Amino acid sequence: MYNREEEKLTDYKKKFDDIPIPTELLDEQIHLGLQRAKIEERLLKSRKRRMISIVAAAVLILGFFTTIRVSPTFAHYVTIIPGMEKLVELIRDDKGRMLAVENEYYQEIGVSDEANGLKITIDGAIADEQGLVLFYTLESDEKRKELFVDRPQLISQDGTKLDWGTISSGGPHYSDTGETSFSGTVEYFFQSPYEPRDFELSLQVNGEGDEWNFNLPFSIEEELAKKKTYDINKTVIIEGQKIEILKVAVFPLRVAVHLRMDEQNTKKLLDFQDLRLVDENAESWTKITNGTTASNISDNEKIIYLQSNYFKEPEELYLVFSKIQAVDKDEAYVVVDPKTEEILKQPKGDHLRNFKVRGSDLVFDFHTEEEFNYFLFNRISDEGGNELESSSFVSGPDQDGIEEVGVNIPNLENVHGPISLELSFYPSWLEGEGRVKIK
Amino acid sequence: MDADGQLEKQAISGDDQAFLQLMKLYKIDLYKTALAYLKNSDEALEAIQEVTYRAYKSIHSVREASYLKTWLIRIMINYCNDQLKKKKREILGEEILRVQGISEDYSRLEIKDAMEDLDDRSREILTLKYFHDLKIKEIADSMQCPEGTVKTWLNKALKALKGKLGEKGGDQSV
Repeated sequence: MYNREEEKLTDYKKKFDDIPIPTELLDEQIHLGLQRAKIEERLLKSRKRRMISIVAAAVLILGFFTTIRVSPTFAHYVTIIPGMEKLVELIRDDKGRMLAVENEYYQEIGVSDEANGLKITIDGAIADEQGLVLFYTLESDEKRKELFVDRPQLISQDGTKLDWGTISSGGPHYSDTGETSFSGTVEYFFQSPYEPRDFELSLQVNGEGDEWNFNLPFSIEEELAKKKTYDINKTVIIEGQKIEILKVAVFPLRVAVHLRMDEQNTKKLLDFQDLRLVDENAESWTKITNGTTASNISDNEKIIYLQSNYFKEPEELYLVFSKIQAVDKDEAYVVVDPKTEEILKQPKGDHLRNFKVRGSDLVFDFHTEEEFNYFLFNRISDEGGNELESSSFVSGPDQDGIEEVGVNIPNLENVHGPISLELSFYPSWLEGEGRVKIK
Repeated sequence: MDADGQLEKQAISGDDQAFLQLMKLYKIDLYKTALAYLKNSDEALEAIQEVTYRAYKSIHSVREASYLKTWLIRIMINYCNDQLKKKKREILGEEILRVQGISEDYSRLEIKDAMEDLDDRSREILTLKYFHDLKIKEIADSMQCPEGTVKTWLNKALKALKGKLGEKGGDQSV
């Protein structure tokens, strides 16, 4: 009935048989499309994760209201500090900061600056000899879905140079429905005690294409609590590896534990996962979970930061640890060949498999028995040992203990030869009993 | 499709490697479809990226591994239809005129024009049936409708095509 049409359609199809097919370009487009979808998936996932942490926050705030009943000082504080709930939200993960507030060691500042419908206020600070944590609130005339505090710059009003070691700035702030108020912290930690008390903080806030610049002069008026230092100089041996505990310094904002690994050790010790302070009542202060967790002085020497027990005066105090992530020194890195998509070297255990290059990402399947929430890699370098700019990511699907992990190297196409990824965390542990008396 | 549809199943369950392999397996079919619709190799390449993106995002919703190929081609056809509508609004077919001007192949031109004039569904059915040699059952499965319905649509499409070809003086190609 439609023979002629069917014939024409078949002819039409045949015309396409001889069309040149740009195979490589097609593959490239397929990879680009997949990459786009994966990036979006990753963003969606992290948004989901944020939702979970909001739920966790709600639970913890409930927990906080129970503690008010047992702590009259805290209850008093809640009534006198404006915006107390916001503050609690920001310090709830850190016992030391909670203690500082409870001990009236939080100082109000109340300095604001305003520009084009956005107002920023430094509400207050927790400061010690070497650290300065500023609590701020952003208030917008209209609802905002995202705001980033960027490029904070702190100078002293008298021009004294500030010898800062780490800066972290708050946010990014997100809200799916839009909010008019966001709170966060800007944190400065200095290499040595700082003299100035009058400062000026300038920063930029970005969001949805808008940009604001603010200047906030402020002063730290209250006296700063003096740190307590304990010289320890004791050596602990775990599975044959020697760890020297040099010094513990207790500040209101954190406790700095200074460690040195023996050069003769056969293992590289990556992370002291459960390092903590324990007092005579078995109350413990664990690692800082949010912010700067450690500083590496050299390959063998590092400072690990714990939540502070400054405002508790324990009778006895111990430094305790039992589990250290470690790999053999000659296995402390992973080497891959992006060209052949082969893993040339990795530590024992075969945790990384199925290596592939996707766009400018190096991607691995990461097999672990238990959930392992750490980014694995630290310094990434090319054949000549030149460090490559990179960022790590973890993406799903997390099924049967397999997680996809990877690093993005923006400049990957120009990198030739094998790439070496130094491990900063790895699921292999030394176990033993490390316990040192501090006090 | 491989014998037991293993690759398809893996891709549906979220295996990226299997998904990539599948895309590479069907890329030529997809590219030709895009060319037939869009008539421009740059746009056809872009279409491959877009279809990969769309497919990856919804492949988990495919229930039957056996019609994955049809499913992919339909995503492509949908995308091309969207693009064509956008283009029509923008430049009123300038490009098509230019392409016609340089081609000497009348029979192909003629059927191409006729196909373009068809409604979306008729064109889709004809593309699936004659361009990709898919069986009525495969088309029906992927559209989740009875085979009878597909047959009816196919008949309507052929009839419409005949009408269009007649309109344009189909004798040229004889």
